[in-house]
Amino acid sequence: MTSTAAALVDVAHGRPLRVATLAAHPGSMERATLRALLAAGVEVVIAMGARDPRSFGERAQALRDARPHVVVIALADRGETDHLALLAEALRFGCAAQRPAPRILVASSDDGAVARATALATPFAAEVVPDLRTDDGRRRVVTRLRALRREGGLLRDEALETLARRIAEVRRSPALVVDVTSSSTSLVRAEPLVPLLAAHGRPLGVGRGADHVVARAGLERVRRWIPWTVDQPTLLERVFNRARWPDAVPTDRESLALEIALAHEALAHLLADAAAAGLGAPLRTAATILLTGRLAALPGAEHALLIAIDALEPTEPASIARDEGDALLALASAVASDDHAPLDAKIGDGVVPAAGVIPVTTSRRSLVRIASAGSTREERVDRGSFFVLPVGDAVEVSGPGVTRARIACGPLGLVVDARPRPLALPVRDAERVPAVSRWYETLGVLAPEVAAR
Amino acid sequence: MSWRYGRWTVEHALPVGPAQRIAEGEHVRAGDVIASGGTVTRVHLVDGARRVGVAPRDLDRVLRVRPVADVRRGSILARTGRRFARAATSPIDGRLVHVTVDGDLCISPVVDEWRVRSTIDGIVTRSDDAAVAVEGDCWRLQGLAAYGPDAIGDLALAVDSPSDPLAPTRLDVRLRGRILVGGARMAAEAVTRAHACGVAGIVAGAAPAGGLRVVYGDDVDASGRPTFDDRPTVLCLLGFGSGPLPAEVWDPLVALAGDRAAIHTASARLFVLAPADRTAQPTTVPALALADDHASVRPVDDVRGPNVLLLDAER
Repeated sequence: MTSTAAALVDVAHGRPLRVATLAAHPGSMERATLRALLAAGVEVVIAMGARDPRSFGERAQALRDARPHVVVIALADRGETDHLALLAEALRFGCAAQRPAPRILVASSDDGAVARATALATPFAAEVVPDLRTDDGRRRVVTRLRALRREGGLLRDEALETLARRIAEVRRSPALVVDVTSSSTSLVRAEPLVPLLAAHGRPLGVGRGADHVVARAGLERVRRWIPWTVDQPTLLERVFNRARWPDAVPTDRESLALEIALAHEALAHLLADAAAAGLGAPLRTAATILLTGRLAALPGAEHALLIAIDALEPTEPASIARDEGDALLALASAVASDDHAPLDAKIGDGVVPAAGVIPVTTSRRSLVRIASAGSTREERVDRGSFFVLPVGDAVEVSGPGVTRARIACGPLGLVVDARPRPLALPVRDAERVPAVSRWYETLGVLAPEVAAR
Repeated sequence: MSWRYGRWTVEHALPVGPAQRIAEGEHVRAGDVIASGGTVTRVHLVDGARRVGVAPRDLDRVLRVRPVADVRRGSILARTGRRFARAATSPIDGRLVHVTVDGDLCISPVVDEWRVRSTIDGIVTRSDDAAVAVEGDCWRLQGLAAYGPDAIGDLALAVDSPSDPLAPTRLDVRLRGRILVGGARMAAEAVTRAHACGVAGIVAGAAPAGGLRVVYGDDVDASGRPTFDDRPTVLCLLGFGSGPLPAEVWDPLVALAGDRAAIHTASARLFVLAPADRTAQPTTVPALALADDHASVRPVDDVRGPNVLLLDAER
């Protein structure tokens, strides 16, 4: 296959790991579990709670159908195991004969809870890790789950984290790496002296994971990002074929629009998962946003820029760059853990912004001051407006509704975004199509000559 | 090569609660029942170990019935003592399906029965509560995705050429029990009509994804959906939307028409239970191209170009 995607460096995704969770109560433990699983980059195939309304047989069948490799049981104390007893029995009934048998990870710092949960998990092999609400517990479960995924070498998730950490260190400011691939979507935020935040969603992606995106989001939510009318059955056909066609590349504007729409929703749903895990807001802010994977492989930086702005909805000014050909990611996966010099040098001159973006939060209108070397200009910004200024160098931005910041712009200029957040797309095609088309046109997305490239 | 004659192992996943299973080493024919059981729903939890005064690990010693056995209301499930006996009894007519870690007994009412049938002729190589595997020699065609329960029947052509869609007007009750070859496309109307006429299953190049949603529900995805319930069985060989069959796939289908066949939905495979010399194994692997708008798949001669794959590529 000759394709842009084929030119990307293939950093290992590892084995897909199917994880089930059994939880006694919704709440802080559930959030902590989700946060650890997002960081570990596993596929959560079923999350069953003690209040699950299904019967014993239905629960057991659901667990059997899910075929989990690992079952995570997070417990705050001994009392929670009583609520979990019937769930654990459904697991034994449904999965005792599964080959290979699922491993059980009991996460608790309460000895009584561990003893009881281990007994309930008989005959499965159980491992114990500390409470997932602690840093140590999260770190150990992430390490364990990644070890089960690893096929040798560094995982793509780990390379993304190394890259984000090094960008933050080299630039001495927060960095966000946004990665969308065929079967995964990742957001990694690093900041000097602050613990790293990572969310790796599987199987959310624009290729193999396309049907999962539609299953999560619904076809209508994917369709709404396409700037023309398209009927749902036709769109579903494209999504299904894309899901079974590894590394299919968009060759016309229809397929390119589908990829853009899928990337929007994949990121939106990963952000929703991150918000449920208590990570949401920080993942929208960083001085440098680096786009990798399929985002970096789209023809023309404006496509990736639109996805980043619409799906991430950054809350602070940022420079947005692309990692062309995943070159930085490949370097991050290749460097030894104690020798970052080659990567740091490459980051120094390799992270070239494609554009800067200024989110403007205003109830009516704002006056944004943009100061560059030797000149200052003021732009009147009305609520809802979305436009590009031809600015190619570093600028300092400030004004009502704008977080004061210094950002670097690029060939695509400086995007001023005063659209209300969260972005609300009209439901009716007659209103939606003109609105979305306007945004696409603002950035030059899906222009005929670009789509044909 | 997608069409191949050889020895295959087919794993038949079982629903929870199998009551009978065929033993390992037994010979079976396609269509034979290899496991059966009852649908387990809500269970009645009966105090077992506590009621009869033994430790959970010793309950097995005093059980009068074992999982999975049918019990009547009042049946003694476990008992200790002689003169001053302590017993656990069943509160309902049902089936003892499971014994918990704590020594409690799960009794499920028997609401309906399911049966799993073998999809090939062969020898049972695995038989446990999760699956029964059968190994045997036959023709195999690997498809892309299959939906519905496994299907067994005689293979029959329902189209005149590999690029024709399956027309609902060609389907009637005379095709009951057959596995139909449906050409380039099987629309939802044809699939549901075939099911209503008693057709066992349909094999075609592609099915419209929207139609699959109509038949199997909105949460259906591109990787297939094996089920145990009474629904149509379809096997998509190439993709979704429309997919004319290449000659390397179509010609053996024509040659094998009339032989016993089966669709195994979990592995998305068509098995044809015919001797090895019934037809020649194709010597070339056809190339497939995804349409520019991704809405269909078609065979191509040239393997170069964007979005072109060989039929046997890992997908």
